[in-house]
Amino acid sequence: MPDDELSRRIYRAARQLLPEMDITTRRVVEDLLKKAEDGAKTDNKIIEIISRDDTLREKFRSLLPVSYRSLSGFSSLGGYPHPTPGLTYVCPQCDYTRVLGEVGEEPGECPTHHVVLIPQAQKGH
Amino acid sequence: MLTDFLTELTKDLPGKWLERVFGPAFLFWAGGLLLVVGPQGLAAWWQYLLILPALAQVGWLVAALLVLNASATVMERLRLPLLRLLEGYWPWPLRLLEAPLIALARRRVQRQRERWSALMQKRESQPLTPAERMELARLEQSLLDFPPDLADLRPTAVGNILRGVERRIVHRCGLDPVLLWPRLWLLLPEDARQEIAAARESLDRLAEAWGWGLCFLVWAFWQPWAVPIALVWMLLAAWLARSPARTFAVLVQSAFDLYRWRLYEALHFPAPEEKGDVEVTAGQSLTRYIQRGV
Repeated sequence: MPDDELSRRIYRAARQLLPEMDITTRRVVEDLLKKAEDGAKTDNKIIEIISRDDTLREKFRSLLPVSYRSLSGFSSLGGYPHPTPGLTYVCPQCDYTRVLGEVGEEPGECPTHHVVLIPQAQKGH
Repeated sequence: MLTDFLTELTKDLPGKWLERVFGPAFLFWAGGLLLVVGPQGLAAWWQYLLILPALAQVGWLVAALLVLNASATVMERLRLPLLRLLEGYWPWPLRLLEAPLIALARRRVQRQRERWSALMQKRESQPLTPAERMELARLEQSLLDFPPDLADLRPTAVGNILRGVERRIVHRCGLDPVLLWPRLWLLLPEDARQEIAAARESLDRLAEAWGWGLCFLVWAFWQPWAVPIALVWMLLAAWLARSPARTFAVLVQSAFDLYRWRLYEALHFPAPEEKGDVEVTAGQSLTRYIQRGV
């Protein structure tokens, strides 16, 4: 989706909203729209100003096409996280070891002795 | 006055109405009509419409638009119950499917966890091959889609992703996110709220699309082919919903990671000074205060 097209849509929607803004906001947005006409990129600033007022923000969203409505900058990174060391649990009676991914996982039992695994740090005690 | 009324009525036409007219509601009605009357019946009906007076044609068009818009509005209102269905919180008799589906998921997660544990142990003693490193990274990512404790598994993928984040916060901070989310939401900065709301909107849309697939089963009373179409529709929507569910889950967890201290401050509770068990105990006290008032 080209950024220019998105910016144009935002400027158009902001222009449509001008009559509903209070005089101070309106002056600031008009000024930013003027700068946009002169070639400056002011769409983010306009969104920031309009977003301060919940009613205006709602109307602004409804004026944007569906695919642009989220106004969201978040998207996940494409890669995988590097695994940091896990939580090591061991059988108190043998060398059976199991690594858990995170707090909250059940450590389970030793398949040989059928006893609950304990944190590795506790085995020496 | 009439002009004002019409202006008010049509001001959202390019947005909401077009979105509804060509959204899943349209697929539901058009697809259902096609199945029930068949292509030949539809062509005959079209011919009949064409010979009607212009006013009657406009009347039909307006009626069709109204039906589309009204049904889309009803489905929008049902987004939360639909999301709960998509999460696997089912009424009877669907609840009978829960146990076998959860058992399948449990076996899969156990296999993945065992493999992950084996690779982690191998990594301690010797370098992993590139293929093993990639497998480990994939498993690490994949396991995030499930709750830490397998007793919390849900029968659907979206259910497990969302349940995963809910339970992860309980295990790590002692805070119940389902109960505390409205409080934290009011304390979040506007930017954070916008990001989370946008992610939730994407998820809700797919839950709604899934709901239209469910409704498509209605056409099976007239045409049995509606059943496989509805099932494919629902499976596709549920599969597509996993991605926004992950984004929403990551953002909710991030909100708790970054802003949970605000809850303690706003509720005049002492913030825990240590992580781990101390924080879990403090979080449980705060949760209990919200839930029980003590």
